[in-house]
Amino acid sequence: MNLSKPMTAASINAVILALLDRGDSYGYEIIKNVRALSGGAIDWPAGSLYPVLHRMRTDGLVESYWQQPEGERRRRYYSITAKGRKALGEEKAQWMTVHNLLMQLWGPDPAFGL
Amino acid sequence: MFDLEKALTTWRRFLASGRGLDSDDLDELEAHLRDEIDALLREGLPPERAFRRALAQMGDYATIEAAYETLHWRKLRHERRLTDELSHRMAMLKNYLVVAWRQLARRKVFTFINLCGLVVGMAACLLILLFILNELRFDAFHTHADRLYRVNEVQTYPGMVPQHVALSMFNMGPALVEDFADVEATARFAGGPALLKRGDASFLLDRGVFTEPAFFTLFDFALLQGDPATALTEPNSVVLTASIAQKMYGEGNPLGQIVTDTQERTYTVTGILEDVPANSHLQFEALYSLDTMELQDWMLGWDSNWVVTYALLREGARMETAAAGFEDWLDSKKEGLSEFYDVYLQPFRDVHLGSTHVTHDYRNFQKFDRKYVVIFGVLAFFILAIAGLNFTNISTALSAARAREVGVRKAVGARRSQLTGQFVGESVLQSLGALAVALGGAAMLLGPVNQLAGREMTLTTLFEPALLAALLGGTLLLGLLAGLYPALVLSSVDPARIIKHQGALTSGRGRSRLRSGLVVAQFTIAIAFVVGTLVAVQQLRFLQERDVGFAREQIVMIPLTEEANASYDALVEALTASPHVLDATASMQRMGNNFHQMGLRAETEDGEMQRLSPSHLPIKINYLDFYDIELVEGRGFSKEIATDAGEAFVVNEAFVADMGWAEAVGKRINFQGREGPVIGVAKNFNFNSLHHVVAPLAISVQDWGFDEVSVRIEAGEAAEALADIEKAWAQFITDRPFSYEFLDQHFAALYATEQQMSRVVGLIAGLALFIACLGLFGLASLAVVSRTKEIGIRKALGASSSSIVWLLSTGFARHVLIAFVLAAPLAYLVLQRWLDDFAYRIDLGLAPFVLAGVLALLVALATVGYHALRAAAADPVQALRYE
Repeated sequence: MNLSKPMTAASINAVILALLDRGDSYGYEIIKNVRALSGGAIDWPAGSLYPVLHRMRTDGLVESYWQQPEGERRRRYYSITAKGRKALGEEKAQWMTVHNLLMQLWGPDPAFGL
Repeated sequence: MFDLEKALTTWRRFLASGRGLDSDDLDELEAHLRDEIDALLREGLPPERAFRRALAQMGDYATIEAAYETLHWRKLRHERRLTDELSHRMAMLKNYLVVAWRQLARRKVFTFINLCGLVVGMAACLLILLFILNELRFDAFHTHADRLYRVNEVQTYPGMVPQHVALSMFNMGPALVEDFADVEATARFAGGPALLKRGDASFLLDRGVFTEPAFFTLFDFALLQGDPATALTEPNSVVLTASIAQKMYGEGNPLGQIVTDTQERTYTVTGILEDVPANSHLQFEALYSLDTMELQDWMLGWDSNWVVTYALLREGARMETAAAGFEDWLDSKKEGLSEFYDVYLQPFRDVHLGSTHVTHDYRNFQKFDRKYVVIFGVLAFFILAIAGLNFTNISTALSAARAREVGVRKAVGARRSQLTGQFVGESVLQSLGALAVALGGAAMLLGPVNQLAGREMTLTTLFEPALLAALLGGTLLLGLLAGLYPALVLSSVDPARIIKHQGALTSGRGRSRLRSGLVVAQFTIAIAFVVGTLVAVQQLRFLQERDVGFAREQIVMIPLTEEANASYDALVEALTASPHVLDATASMQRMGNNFHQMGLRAETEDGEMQRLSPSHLPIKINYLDFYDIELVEGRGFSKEIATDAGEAFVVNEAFVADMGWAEAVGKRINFQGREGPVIGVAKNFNFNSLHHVVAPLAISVQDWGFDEVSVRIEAGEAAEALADIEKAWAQFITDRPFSYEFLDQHFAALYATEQQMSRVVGLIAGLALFIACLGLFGLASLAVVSRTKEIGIRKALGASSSSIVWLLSTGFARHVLIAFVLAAPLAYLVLQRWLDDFAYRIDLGLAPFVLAGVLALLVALATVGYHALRAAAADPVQALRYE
């Protein structure tokens, strides 16, 4: 299953912020992790990730720095900022609201009779 | 062998051409790509496939670019560097303009050809557009124009073809208002004096009419002085137009002044009207109050039709419902009237363009045919199409030479949309420039065109906001369409190929086929136009030179007043005393018109008297001899036989056929209470215009007074004769200045609409051919240039000059031949329909087609020949060194 365009657009910020909250990372690794964590269901093209990272940087949600770990190539790493954490909290609250609602509606034992 | 590093470098350079990405962004993307490739290599993919797969995973280039571009602009706004970016873009725009200008300047001839065609085409279109607008807006200035109607009749008398007339009965107007709730008001018109005297000074008017007070309710003709409510209520009132009042009274106040007409009736000036605009079918310089007329009994009858009536319907009333009861209404006025008359309402706005079938239509200034308005519109469209095709064609051809520019632009990072924009922009600018020049040209030509068409059009019409917007929009569209094709062709160019081959864009086969198609289309239109012109000219000459059955050359027509009628015999004696004057006669109406129909009773083969209303021409006794009208039976009128005047009749063959007479001479005809025999049968002659077949006609000698005297003069002595005529005139007639018209001029005027049409079509045919040749000239020169080397080789190998000319010319001749094959049937169909309008017409022969085809071919060969000869005469060594 592939995620629809609007769904990707809506969720990409939350996913990036959540990943960076667990530790700094770079574009290629972010895509790889998302692919692995979603069991291959979500596979962002690089073309849509980098502009988003770029925009989040302009908006001050993330910071970037260049680093070259031993024996690897030089990469641009991203880390979450305080503002980014706040935004993540906001995202989380919203997603949970939607999640809870859907779970109730789709759950095996609806909380309210229909 | 695939080189991964090289591929990556190329990819990076390609991305770098976009404006949104900085080097950090590029580094980041490259690192990503390399990570991906490494992963794929580890899976065992060969380098090239790894590279392609990784590239595909990145997503397509345009999306990335667009995303970064948006971010770029946001950043610029953020960093307040927007003005820098804009000035950067302006610099680019300036570069486009400079390059465009250099291109135009370098190829002066082509630029001239290209723009010249467009300007000429546009100017012609603008003028036609003005004319069409003028015709469509004729009579539109009245507030009630949409509720106004003219009361027309279809007359179906025995002994004549049913005819539509713009005449009605005197009592109809008031009766319509009385009997029909839908009719709000009516106004009647009747011919009035055309000569007024102030004291001893006489003033000749073009037209004077009698009308009634409702005139000011119906129409918007504005009174400058006087009260519309009372100006025409009293008998012996006259309202003058400003310019005639100025002529009569100068700066003085005309109101309340007394003027007299030739019958010594006096009028008080009660109002001054604004001059009547040229786009009104109603024209007059003086309005006399209708109550002034002394009405005789016959004028009041319900079968005398001699006024023009206009009706204003109430708001919301529909023409069809208003006219529904007309038939019964007529019978209620006079038993059996509806048998002969059919009354209907003609919308006022149709009078100008929709009255070609209406006869006795004497108050319809500049009457025109709607069909020709449509034809003109189609012509305008075609001429614009030819000019547009030309523009596209030459632009495309020229664009080949700019391939290198495109190659370089692409190599330094121009995107396709930018290139398309650049070229389309150029052609839009060129067409806007052409529009400006065309407007200037149209302004210069408007004077002569007005004269030719007899109109008073002004260029300001074109500057009405809606129209101006349409013009600009149309021009933009033209520029866009003309520029789009070359723009797309050019922007699709592969830069590597262009730069490597160092040369011009080798014109692909498909491309040249399109250009040939355009040339064929142009020539098709041009040839069709030329055929049309030739046929129209042929038909008009046929109409004017056809033997109409009477002698009409060297005849001067002079209007007769009452005074002149009184001293007719003495006048004729004085006239014929001149050595330059051969003879003179008079008649009620002049040749070339639909003679008035008058009711009479004629004896049938069974000896009964049958009513019929043929055309009737009252004449002076020598009329038939004067006009050399041939008699097929019996004799003409004779002075020796007393009863010939007033009782005897000469009828035409159509009359005899209509009555079904086996033996015409001796049959009795009763006219207005006097009965006499038919003494002769005249061979049918075309007294009406050749649009019509000859109608039944009765001719009798009457002593009613005549409208005009016809004077035959010695050929080649017109000036002397006219001087003598004027002298004789002055001797007997004091109340009117001398005026005259040659009968052939009058006949020429009958075909004025067709004449105008053929002139316009001729002009446009010339233009079309000219523009098409400009296009051909351009293409031929390009063809020769692109085949320079081929020609050089051929010559070096021994080809003769003539074979080279042949080689180059035949290709283009083929285009013209194809165009001819397409144009001929098209022109044939259209022209057949046009000719069907004439009762007397030429047969469409081969000649005009052959002539048009040969003409087009010759012009085309002459155009191409210039280049072909130059190419053939060129030194082959030079040709081989070329490129």
